Amino acid sequence: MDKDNLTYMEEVMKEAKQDEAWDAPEEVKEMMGADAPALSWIMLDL
Amino acid sequence: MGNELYTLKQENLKKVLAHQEGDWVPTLSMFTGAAIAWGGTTFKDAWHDPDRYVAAMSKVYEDIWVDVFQLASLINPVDLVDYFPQIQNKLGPDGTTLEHLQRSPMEAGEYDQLIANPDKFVADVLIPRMFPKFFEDREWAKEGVKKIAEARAHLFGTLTQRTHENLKEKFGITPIMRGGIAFANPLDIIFDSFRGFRGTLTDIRRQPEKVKAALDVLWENQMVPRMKPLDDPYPYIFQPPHIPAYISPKQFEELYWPYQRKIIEWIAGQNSKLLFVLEGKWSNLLHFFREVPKDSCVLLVDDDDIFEVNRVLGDWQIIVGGLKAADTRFDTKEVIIDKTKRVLDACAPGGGFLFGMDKVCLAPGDINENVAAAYNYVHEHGKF
Repeated sequence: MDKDNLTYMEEVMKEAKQDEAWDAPEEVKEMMGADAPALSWIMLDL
Repeated sequence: MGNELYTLKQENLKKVLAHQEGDWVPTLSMFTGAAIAWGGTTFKDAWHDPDRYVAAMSKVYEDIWVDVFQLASLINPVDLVDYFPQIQNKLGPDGTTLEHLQRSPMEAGEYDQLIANPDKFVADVLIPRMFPKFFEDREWAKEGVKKIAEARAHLFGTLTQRTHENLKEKFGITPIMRGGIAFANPLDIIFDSFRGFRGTLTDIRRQPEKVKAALDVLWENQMVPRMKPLDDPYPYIFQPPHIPAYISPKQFEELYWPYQRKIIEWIAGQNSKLLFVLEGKWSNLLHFFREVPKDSCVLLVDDDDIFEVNRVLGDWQIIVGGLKAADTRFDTKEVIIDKTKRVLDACAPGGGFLFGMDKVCLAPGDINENVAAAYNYVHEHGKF
């Protein structure tokens, strides 16, 4: 992988949030974590 | 009814938590899987039906007097296992009992990377090791983050929140534990999330300097950002310590207590208390809690003798316990009541004591007729 993983995760989060097919309220979308480090720590402890 | 009960329970609780005698000895519950079984269903069957979930999780409080709860819902979004089969927290075959299958993704030779940048280490090394597909398939990753968000929102925002609202309205019961935040000692972070039981205990002996450096970095990276001024001192922030029962008093003093003292002193500075589980046996560590401000901790007693904890700390910190889950499985009701009476006689005078169990009620049968008898006895006879 060329990109730094945190940058990649940030992009994935942004694309998911902007996906028009995902009909979820903002408060639901926020539950993926505030940023890429937050998401990675959430995933670490799933 | 709920609001009147809520006011009564809170006023009484406030006195006891201030180390004064209230009108009665409060009871604290930690009912999760056993509660939904008591309510006649399973987490698996009720997960997608919030009304059913809330009704089932609330049923036990019709039968057992509870003043305040630490847990009244699941704490892990267990349905993610369908998309991420490698997750650590999942339901057992009965569809109710939570199973934790600890993973230890960090290797012994990776402390330098952890110390250099914990966030980058987790994202660059550990997450790809645990979830390789996340970095190989961008569309799969996008669906994955949606599922994480939806599962967490469903658990915390719908199932748990609605259960809490129902318990307050019907029974006047609210959580003693603050939602949305928990504290963790840096050594527990290494133990729980990185190196596991064997790895951490080996590292402490073989590379203590690396471990110490990692603890300092994790303190700055994970704990300091959480220490934001509290808008309200109640409910209390929860901390589940896991490694202290397995290390020596010397290791505890050198590697655990310096950070723990800072956490407790910060909490005390906020006029709040730390809700802290004495997981395992702490008999040779209890004196440490006399070094921090009076009434700065609410200590949930696990395997220790409640009478000994009360003797050492009863005048200094708030103590919760008195009923052993194993006893409720094997003792007669008469023996349970007799033991409960002795606990009340020893621990209740002067306030600062809540009656509770030593274990979270995770599995069907953990709440039983003996649990009900003990809790209801405390409420009926535990008057000051």
